[in-house]
Amino acid sequence: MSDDKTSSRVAAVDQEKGGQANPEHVSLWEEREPEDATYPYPHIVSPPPTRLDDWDLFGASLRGKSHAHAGTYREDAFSLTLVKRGWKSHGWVIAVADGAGSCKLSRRGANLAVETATDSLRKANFSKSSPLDRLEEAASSALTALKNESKLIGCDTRDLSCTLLILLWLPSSVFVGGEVFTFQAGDGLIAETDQYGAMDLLAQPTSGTFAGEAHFLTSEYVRDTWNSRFYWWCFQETPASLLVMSDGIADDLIPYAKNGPTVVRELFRVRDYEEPAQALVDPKEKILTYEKSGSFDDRTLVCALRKDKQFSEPGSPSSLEKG
Amino acid sequence: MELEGTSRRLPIYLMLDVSGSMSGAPIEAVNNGLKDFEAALKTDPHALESAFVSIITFESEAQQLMPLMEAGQFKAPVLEAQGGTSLGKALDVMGQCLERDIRPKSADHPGDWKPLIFLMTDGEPTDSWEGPAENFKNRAATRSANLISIGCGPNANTSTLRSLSATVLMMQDMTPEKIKSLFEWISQSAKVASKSASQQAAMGESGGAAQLPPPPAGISIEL
Repeated sequence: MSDDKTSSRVAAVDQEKGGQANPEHVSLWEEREPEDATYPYPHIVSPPPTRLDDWDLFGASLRGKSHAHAGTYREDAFSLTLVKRGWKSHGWVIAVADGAGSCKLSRRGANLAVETATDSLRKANFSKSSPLDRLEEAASSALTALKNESKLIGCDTRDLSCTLLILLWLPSSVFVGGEVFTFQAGDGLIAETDQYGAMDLLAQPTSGTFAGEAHFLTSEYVRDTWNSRFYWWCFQETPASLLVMSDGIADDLIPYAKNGPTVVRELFRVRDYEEPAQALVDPKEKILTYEKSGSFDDRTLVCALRKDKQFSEPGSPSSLEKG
Repeated sequence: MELEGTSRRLPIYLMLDVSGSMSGAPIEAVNNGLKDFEAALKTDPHALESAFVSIITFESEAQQLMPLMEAGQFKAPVLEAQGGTSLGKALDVMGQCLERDIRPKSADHPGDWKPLIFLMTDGEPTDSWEGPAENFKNRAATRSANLISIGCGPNANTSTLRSLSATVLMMQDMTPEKIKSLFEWISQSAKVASKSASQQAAMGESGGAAQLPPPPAGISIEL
């Protein structure tokens, strides 16, 4: 969070007005450092971008105000890694995990799941085997890592419960826009957008009808529906952006039709900044630091923006021509 | 950036018996308890941003006295006791509220948290309640509602309450002090639920049982 304690304090807001600040309410949220320093993780992660010939990749994660108020660590984790397909072409992987709020060691689980999955894909040889098989291997290895970790530290595997979202993009000699392979266990969002910010989901969340019903990577539900958690997408036209995010921001984007353009506009706006990820977590920019009533979870957003695409306002002449 | 759309809510319903047998000190204690409940919600940031509260009262008739509203706007009403104990009518009203108020996940809404209902009654129902109870249980199940039944005083019927919900609490002495501590516990429960909602508690993984604090002295959990 911000160095300025007051900037992280928020006014209570009016839910029915879609998150506008209510000046009559005085902030009660505080920011505390964790007393229990087991498995410490930074409250903010905003690494330098990865600039490729065809994509700009960047992302950030910040601690939610609920964890800040309670003095607990951020439970989201993410990674962004390059992979090889053939001797000179490369692809990349984005992985995001969100530790279950009720499980004390879930932040450890989230980080372990992300590290294990991306490590597995980094070592994979995509020119000689099916990317979907390698993705399945990566997701399985993340689950196995959680089970092994629970034995190692003497806890139940459920104590390490987390979601896991993986997006693997690979260039293709057949599909101009490349191929995307996804896996999702739990809530959050994996999506592609066009230049107008219109979103299409690239994986199905395992969340229920009501809040708090997400099925985590370690759950029986995910185990029983394992094979249907994987998707393979072929693009004849390259998406303008590919997004992976935890539910802390994904839920706030509902309805996607209205908020998709808003977030994509912001991502393209800061793309050419020297440190776009830092802009994501900058309180002045209000990108991941926006205020919305009832939104207090960790927020993690990782994006890939196509180099040759720009954001266009929905309803603009080019949009209408397309429409 | 400014985002459109509403956030998820934690709906909390208080179903309060205001029949004639609650006259005098008990209803006065309930009114004081509601004031404490209001104060507790308004000093808790989790509750202020996630809890929505509604009050349903029942005597010979039943009504949703206060619609579901955000905790910051909740004002404790002043209740008066009279008439019979129409639990069946109350369950009908409660079921209608669940169907009308609770928003499942959709393209336009992230989905509410599972509702919490606190039913407080001091006597035997005076209307036909078995049929409405079955209807209510079906409605509650489709909205994943958690009902906590609290029997107050010696005339409350444990088996009636047990047929409505898995969680039944009994308060043998209906003194003002005990009612006060009961409302303190309800307030604490609302705060705990709001907090766990904010921490994305994995309630769905364990079958959806509400995590509640232990009840105060003089109020026992019926096993």
